[in-house]
Amino acid sequence: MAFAKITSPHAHGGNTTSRIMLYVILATVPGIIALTYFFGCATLINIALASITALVCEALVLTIRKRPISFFLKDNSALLTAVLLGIALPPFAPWWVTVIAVSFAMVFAKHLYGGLGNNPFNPAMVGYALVLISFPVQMTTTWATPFFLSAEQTISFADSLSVIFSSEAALSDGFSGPTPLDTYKHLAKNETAIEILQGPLFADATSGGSASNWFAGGWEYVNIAFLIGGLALLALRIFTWHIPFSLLAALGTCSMLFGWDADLYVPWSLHIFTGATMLGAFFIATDPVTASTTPLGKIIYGAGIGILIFVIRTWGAYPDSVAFAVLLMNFAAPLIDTYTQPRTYGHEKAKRGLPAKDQKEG
Amino acid sequence: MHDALHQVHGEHHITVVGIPTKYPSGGEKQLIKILTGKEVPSSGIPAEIGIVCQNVGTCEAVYRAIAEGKPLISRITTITGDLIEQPQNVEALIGTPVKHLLDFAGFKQEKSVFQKFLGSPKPRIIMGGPMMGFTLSSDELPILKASNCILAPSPKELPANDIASACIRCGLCTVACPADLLPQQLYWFSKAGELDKAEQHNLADCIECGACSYVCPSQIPLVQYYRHAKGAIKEERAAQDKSNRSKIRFEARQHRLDREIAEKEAKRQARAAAAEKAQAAKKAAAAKAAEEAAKNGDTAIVGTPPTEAKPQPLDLEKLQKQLDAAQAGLKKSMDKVAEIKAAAEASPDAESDQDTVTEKLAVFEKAVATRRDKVKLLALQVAEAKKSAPVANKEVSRTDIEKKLRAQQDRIEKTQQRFQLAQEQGLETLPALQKGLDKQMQKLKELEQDLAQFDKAGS
Repeated sequence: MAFAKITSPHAHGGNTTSRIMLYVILATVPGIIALTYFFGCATLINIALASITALVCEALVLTIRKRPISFFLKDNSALLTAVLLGIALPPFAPWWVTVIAVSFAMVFAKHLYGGLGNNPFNPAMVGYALVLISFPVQMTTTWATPFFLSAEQTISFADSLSVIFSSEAALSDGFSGPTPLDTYKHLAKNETAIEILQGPLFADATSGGSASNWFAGGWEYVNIAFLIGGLALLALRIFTWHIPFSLLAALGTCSMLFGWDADLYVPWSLHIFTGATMLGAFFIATDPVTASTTPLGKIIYGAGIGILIFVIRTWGAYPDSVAFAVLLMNFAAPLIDTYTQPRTYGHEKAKRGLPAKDQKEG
Repeated sequence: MHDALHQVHGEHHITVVGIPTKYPSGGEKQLIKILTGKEVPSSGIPAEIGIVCQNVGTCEAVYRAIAEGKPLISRITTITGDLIEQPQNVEALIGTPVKHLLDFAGFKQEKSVFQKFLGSPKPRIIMGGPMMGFTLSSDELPILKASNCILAPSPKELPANDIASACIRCGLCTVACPADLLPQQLYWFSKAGELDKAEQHNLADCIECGACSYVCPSQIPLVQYYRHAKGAIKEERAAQDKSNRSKIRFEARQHRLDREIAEKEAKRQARAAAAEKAQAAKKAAAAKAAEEAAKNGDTAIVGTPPTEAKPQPLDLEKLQKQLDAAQAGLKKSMDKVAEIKAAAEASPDAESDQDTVTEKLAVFEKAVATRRDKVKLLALQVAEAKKSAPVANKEVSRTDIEKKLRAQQDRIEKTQQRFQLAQEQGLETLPALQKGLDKQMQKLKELEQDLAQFDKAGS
């Protein structure tokens, strides 16, 4: 009788790419909940808008590229990019900013390089960097203020919709403003830490926005929520500890070494627990396609991002810098991989670099 | 096990160690690393680090061979899988057909109605384990001494791989690899045909355990890529070796040919040198002889007068005959040249003959030249002979000269005819003929003068 002829291995663990992507998306849920709680439901609208845009773009490009549409849409990678961008973009950014960022990420950063797995740069961060450079006003002044600081207790869903989709920037100061990192950096030129921390942005969320602490109100909970999601992914072995931990360690070390004087620099607590730090460390820097893949390489890659985040935040023109730091290290990832090969079993030393040219010919 | 050993042997040096079940701990290299912490050198064997790793089955076979003198005729084989009714271990004779064992353990061949309707995939029979075993194309194949397992999985138990999706470089394979390779890099290099980079990333150290493939979320058949790359490298290497060998062979041949030519040349030179030496020796001997002769001559001058000193009577008749013969030869040669030229003229299209014609022409023209020289020389000699003995020929010379004159006139006539012919045809020999004609005319004049002189002297 006839038997199937298949070469080994015959067994498979059953893991799939779409499952990995799905887990990552699910792990962002705590962070999204925290964001929504503190900053209103504008984030959810952004995520929905980004997801629809991403899926439409992906389907369009796949049609043009004559690839099976459902096969690739099912891998959830487009959805993940959209969710990350929806989280990263300011909640009250106009709708067209989100659409431009997502479509650029899908078409240019992902598919023009050959689709999933072939893009050298993190698509979400390419989209983010594009709109950050192109529309600095919309990107830096539209961060929602935490609910406890705004005049009304909550921003209604309808209000959020109207703000995002209105043609004029109908934003009142009560709704949105700059981020705490940006605020602190600018205020530190004239004020001391104690004075800055008296400001509303640095109020304690739990105490009704009165007492000040070393965190920015609401932001620390958002970051902790992302940290929890990231640790869950770590436990599920979606990625290894190397990148997030080296990133946080490098950022923490830098901010403690250089930012020891809170009167002059942003303190380390704000570096770690405000802005996109945790999101960047666990969800963006760990994007496997564009990151380094060797164990040592991952540590170098993560540390590089951490240092760059600190450098750009402190001396750069942009308030947050995860996107630029990640993109810069994306450039370096292939080189890092080449020079950080692990020592193979049975070899005395690890090989480094590329094969010598003369060896190839000889 | 430890207790059992103790019971049987009392004192022994065997330690039983439990290790965590983690594929591929059963691999020789991995087992040695786990138990001893040592690593077998790359492309080496365990004996190089003082370790011998033996399978339980091998140990048993060695025991049977030494203690009982039994050859290896059977082995213990596991028959298992979802399609086997009674999974079990059997001792099977080497050479037993797999079909026999499957029947023995109960192989579920019948498909359910549902499966028949769907046309479920063909079953797989695997010799070896699910990770590194190979599928059998037929159940008529025999059990070998290395057949540790016959696996008959249902398609549900070991489903065929899905279509591979893109590698997202997640690095799960790197974590899984027991050889500490970078499987995802090896995959990219193998796929792109960058074999040098794959080699540099130690592709050769891949043990094809399949762990990377097992954990791959994109279900990429990684091991197949590595096998292909290894094969390609081997092929490339073989081709390189072959070309190297033919290069060496070619160079050796070239060297041999050069050497042979050099040897021949050396032999030839040696011969030439020997010949020269011999000639030189001969010359030296001749010179010596001449010297001696001269010495002898000096002493013999008084006795016998030298023969050479005696003037030879000039044989005018003989010289004249020679001159006539030479002139006839010259004429013949010149005729031949003209003939060839005419023939060539007649058929100028015969390209193939052109070479031979020119060759012939060259030969005959050379002959003409040498003969002309000879004629000249002889004529000179005749003239000298006549000068030295003009009187002796007086009585007979009159008719003689007349005869010569007539012959010369005839010759001139002929030459003139030829000259005309040459002129008509525009042959290249024209100037030569002209020269010849001039000379003949001069000779005629000389002869006429001779005749006039003779008449003067006679009257």
